[in-house]
Amino acid sequence: MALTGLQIFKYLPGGKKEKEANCKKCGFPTCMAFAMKLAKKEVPFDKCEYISDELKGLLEEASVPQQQAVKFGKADKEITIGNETVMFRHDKTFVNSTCIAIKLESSDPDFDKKLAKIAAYSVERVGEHLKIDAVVLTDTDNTFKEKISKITSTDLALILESSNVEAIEEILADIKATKPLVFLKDAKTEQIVEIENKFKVPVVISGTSIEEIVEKSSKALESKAENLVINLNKQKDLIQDLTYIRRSAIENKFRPLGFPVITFVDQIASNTLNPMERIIWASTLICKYSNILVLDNFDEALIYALLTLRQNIYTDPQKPLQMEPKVYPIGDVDKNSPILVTTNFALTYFVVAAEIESSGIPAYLLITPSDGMSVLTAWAASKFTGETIAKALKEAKLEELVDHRSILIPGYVGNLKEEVEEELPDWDIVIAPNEAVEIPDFLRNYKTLQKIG
Amino acid sequence: MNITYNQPVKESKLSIRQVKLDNLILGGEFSLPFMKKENNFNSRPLVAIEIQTIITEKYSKILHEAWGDCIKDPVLWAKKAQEKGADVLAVRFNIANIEDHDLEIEKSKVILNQILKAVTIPVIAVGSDRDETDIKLLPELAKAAERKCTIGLVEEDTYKEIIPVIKETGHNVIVRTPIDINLAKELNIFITEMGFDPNKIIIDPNMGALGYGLDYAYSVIERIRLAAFDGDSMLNMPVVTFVGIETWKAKESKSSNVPKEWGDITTRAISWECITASSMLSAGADMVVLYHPESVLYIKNFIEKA
Repeated sequence: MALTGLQIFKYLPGGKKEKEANCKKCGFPTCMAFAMKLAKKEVPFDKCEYISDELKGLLEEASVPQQQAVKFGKADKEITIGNETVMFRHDKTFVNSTCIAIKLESSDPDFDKKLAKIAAYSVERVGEHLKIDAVVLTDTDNTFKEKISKITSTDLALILESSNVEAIEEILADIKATKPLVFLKDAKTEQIVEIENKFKVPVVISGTSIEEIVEKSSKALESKAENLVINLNKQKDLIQDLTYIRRSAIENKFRPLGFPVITFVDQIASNTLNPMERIIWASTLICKYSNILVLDNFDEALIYALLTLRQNIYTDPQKPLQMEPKVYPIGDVDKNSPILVTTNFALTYFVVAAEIESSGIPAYLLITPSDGMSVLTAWAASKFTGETIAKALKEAKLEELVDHRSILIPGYVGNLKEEVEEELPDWDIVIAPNEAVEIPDFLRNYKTLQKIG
Repeated sequence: MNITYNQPVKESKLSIRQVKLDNLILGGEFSLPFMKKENNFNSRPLVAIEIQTIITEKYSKILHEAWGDCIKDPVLWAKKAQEKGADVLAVRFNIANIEDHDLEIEKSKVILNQILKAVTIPVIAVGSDRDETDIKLLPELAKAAERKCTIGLVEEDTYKEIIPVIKETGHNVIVRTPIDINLAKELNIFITEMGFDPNKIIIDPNMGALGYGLDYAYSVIERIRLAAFDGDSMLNMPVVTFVGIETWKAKESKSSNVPKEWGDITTRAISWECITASSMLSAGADMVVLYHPESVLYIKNFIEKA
């Protein structure tokens, strides 16, 4: 566990009331200020000339990660996995999203087509571009090397899967700079460790039981190999075992299991060929403790659902994505454009904005300050009220932006109508639909009615 | 360096209460989901199929195709749902928009009893999701039901009127609160203080579909579970999530006018329901209520193998 500022302070001259207390040589006004910075790892400890060996030891011990951060991929597109510090996202947050990889065999006759599709895949959701992170290339014929160069010419990170140690050594000598993750199947731990040491690339340690993995990773740690990713090759009780691996790392600081985990969906679902069942397994492994998830099938719809789940699970629960409260013009607005109001929860904004856009009717979208809550939650917490809506409307100077005096409120909070009317007596309050998906139809009818009126 | 692996098994102070749904038991587990070694109780999550008594034009064409014309008759639909492998049947009496409420409630009572006769699986009667309607409808359904079932959803603004009748008639109840662990606990306390048996309460923490606030429900369920295992006897009730109704109103399940990266509409809609369900199960839900028969098949297969 990391030390707190106060714990650190006790070991500094200021905390021990020594004559060097608050000497300012570290660049901070007091030992306490330095301790706080140190706790946040914002300064190196050697900025303090008087730091004791005891404190150094404690800081070093505390800096051993519960779960090793492992990086792979080209320098400018590097992926970081691991470095998680909690068992549950509500304890703090999960930090490094599960890396989603697709497996391709070098002998696949459709290799080029599949790779192009995977590399090009990108879908926008709540302001983020969701993409596939990596390709696992399996050595199944003599075109392996040629296929590697095809993958490294894309933005995708590379994971190599082969049982030919010599061939891998030869390849790594050439492509070290692209820093692939290397999975040597059936190789001895010594050989795997040697690859890690020699080429400075992360390697996979695989076993059919946790005990087997511990034995191998301990051996690797003895040889100073720390760039490890572990793989538990089994189906039975997999979620339980992955939970035990994460628990050993996070709660018990058990170093041999303090590494990210790679899971191959085809290893666990060999008897369930149905793509939907595979994606169900994949989804539970995003929730329960896989740092890399390898799929053997690429289907747009299934990938989209899986990437959306990953975004949900890895959103920081303490900081819901929020929009700046103000008025957002959607499309080519003019003085007659309708005004819709909603909360500043990013998801709410993006969903509503997308529907307005798809309606083809330009509109103003007024976003109120509501602590990043959705409409119903904000309403229940009194963060979305007649008063907040009126205030936001006035601050955005909507009276000057439009000639009409109508505002559309979300259907779920239709009961706010009177409250808003009281606050905005000159305005006509119209109840819009509950669901964003109904907005396009509603807006088209609304515009027609306006014209008739 | 210590290199001896000890399985980090945990013990719970309290297990989840066992709510009886006819011959099935909902809940009862001692551990987080799929942690078999820590679970001394041989339970598995249940999969329910939800049917509704009124089909509106909003009802998905994909679902209509999957079920066929039986959806026009709730009794036929109920039988079909049982055939499709539902552990439990949820019947939604979505009558909120009907003008003549009293007549519609009378009709609903008849339909409920016809369904209770037509199927052998446990039945959940779900209200209209509109407080004014549910205050009248749910007590009437509770009184009319000719076999024990589960009545829901009871909320903060409706429990005072509905709970006394359910208590008297001996059914289970589903209690819904808005994605908040403290509100869930508070309402369970209020309801048990009215003399309602806590072993007949099922928690519905409410939820959002995949991509629509799923993360909030996910974390609230995990927190409810951990509080229960840590000894909180007002949060150790089984948890149900109404996955179907939420996912089938998401744009992903409805719209074909979307970027091509969203893939095939039917695959997407079913995967949206399945992944929402599997993540709720991963968080600790004891029952997921689904719409599409294929989702039921896939989720049941997953539960069996996990």
